[in-house]
Amino acid sequence: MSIPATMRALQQTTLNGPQDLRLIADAPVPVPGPGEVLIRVAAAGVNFGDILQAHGTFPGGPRPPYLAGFEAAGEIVTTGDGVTGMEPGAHVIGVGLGCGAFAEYTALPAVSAMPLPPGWTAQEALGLMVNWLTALAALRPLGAIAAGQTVLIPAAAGATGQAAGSSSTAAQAARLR
Amino acid sequence: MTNCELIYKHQVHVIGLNIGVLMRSAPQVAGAMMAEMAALMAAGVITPGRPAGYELADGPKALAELEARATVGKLALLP
Repeated sequence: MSIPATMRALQQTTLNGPQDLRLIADAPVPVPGPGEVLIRVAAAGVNFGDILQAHGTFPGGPRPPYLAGFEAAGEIVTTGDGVTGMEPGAHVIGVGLGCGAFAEYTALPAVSAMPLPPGWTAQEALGLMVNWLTALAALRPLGAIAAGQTVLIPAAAGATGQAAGSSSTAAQAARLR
Repeated sequence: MTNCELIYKHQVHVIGLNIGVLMRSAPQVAGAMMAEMAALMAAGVITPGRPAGYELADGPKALAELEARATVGKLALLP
């Protein structure tokens, strides 16, 4: 399938927050650089980091105007130089700071993408590379939780909080309240 | 903050985490997390998500609702 020259995307135009996030129809479709894969976005994940970026308070985040979003899932349509183990046609979920995931196409580093679990849709896989990894890293290597301990999860209704709740329960460490 | 202060004056510590920074600075930890994630999927702890879907054009609305703490769980934009 041919790749168009332009695409629909959400562009953040100021540091005034999501109120200045605008849909544009003529964003150039990115060309994947070395080590990157270009995917046709089927679903993009929204994260609290997107809010921080829209206010300019995300360390190392993009400066406006920029295409927003950093988590996307979809089908690889082409790969940049030096990409091994990922071919066009594969369906992946991945992250890329400043990649512009809120768009019809986005280029992600291949090393921060993984194949969709068998049988999962793009939408169902959102959160694996952001929320689940964050929750697991916080609980195990950094938090060193053990069975019987109590875990306090602030923002438990969010996607990371839900992941932390599920994995805490699995570790028999949580008393959820 | 010195080691002495950490040991004798501030014995309760807060550890921060940004997963993107962790993946770059400690890839071996990130690799272990990927392996644990695969194990948790196989064990049925991690199951397919059911995010609330928004059209791409409604992205500003989705972000505003997230910022207003009016949402639960994952949000998805569908181009």
